[in-house]
Amino acid sequence: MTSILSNTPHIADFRQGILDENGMHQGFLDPALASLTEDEVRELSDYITYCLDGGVDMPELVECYRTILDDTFQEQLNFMRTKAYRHSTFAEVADSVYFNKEYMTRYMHGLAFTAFIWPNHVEMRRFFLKSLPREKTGHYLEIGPGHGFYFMSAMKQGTFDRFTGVDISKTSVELTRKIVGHHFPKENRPVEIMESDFLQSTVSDGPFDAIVMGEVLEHVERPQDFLARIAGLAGPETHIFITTCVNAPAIDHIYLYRNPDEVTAMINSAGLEVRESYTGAYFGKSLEESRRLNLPINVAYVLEKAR
Amino acid sequence: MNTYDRLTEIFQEIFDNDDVVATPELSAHDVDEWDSLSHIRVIVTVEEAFGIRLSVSEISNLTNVGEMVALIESKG
Repeated sequence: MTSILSNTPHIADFRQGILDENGMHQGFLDPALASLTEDEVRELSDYITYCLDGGVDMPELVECYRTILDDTFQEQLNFMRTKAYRHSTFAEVADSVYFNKEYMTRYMHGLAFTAFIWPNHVEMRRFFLKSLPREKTGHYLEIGPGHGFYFMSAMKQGTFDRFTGVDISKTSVELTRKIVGHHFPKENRPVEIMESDFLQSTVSDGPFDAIVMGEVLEHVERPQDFLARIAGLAGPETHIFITTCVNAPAIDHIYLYRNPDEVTAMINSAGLEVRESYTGAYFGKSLEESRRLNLPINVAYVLEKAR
Repeated sequence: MNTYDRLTEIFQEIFDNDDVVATPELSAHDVDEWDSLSHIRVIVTVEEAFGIRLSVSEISNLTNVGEMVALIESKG
């Protein structure tokens, strides 16, 4: 931990900024940072540098992460009182989140940081990178790239020759284009980031060679429709990767899965099968405890089209 | 049973740690298991146990158990 802070001053400043506002987070933050690999520390530091170079200063970055913490705290409090998410329709959250540029930008930067701080988000990203085919070519489709981190990572690590992203939020489209442009200023492979509702979008008929959808299902009213469209765009060899969460309230989560079995049942009814999975219990709790106490659980799957 | 005794029961149950005893000076820094989510569990359990409702700003301003007890008793 000491070496991370001394070798990466941006991370040290970011950490101190968070702790100045929320000392209670130290018990969570420090072990999380200490558990990162050298590559992840470098990526986190690079992401902070990228943001700073893009005109977002350190207090703003701290505020982005604090926004996620504060909003999640309020939603978790509501969830424990009511056993339900506060909102259940897209219309209730669309204007205040997805179509609110100021909030969405803050939210997306904050969410990107959780990929390095929240243990389950760290593990899901590792699972994503580990499972992404190294030698598969063809067309990569990502639904809801959000901050663009998975999309950019797929371009870095994958060998696909064409990339398409679809996101309903104009702000997310801009953020993804920006991070891709930053990391791939001379990219020759075709890259298209579309602003559209995936269910209404005019992406090609497929089959795509990879379809990735991270943290989308909990944001939509009918996740089964998204899974069904993915199944329709997939061929027998398509690499499909999705993540979602169970009992995990957030300001814009509207579809509540109450246990991981509900997710897999929906996957199967859409004509998809689980090939590999990751299930992350709440930090410091077993999966059984997390289920019993209705604590957040994160799930990620590598899927294939049912044969 | 006074407020501190009832809080001791709640803390020991939520933190799964029989060594935790509610005292005026006790704070989240003193208990390894006291993270933000367990803090929420404490708040919701306190609300149910004492039949009160706490606002987010009231919760955010708490720095130790003594302040929590004062807040609970002010609502009673």
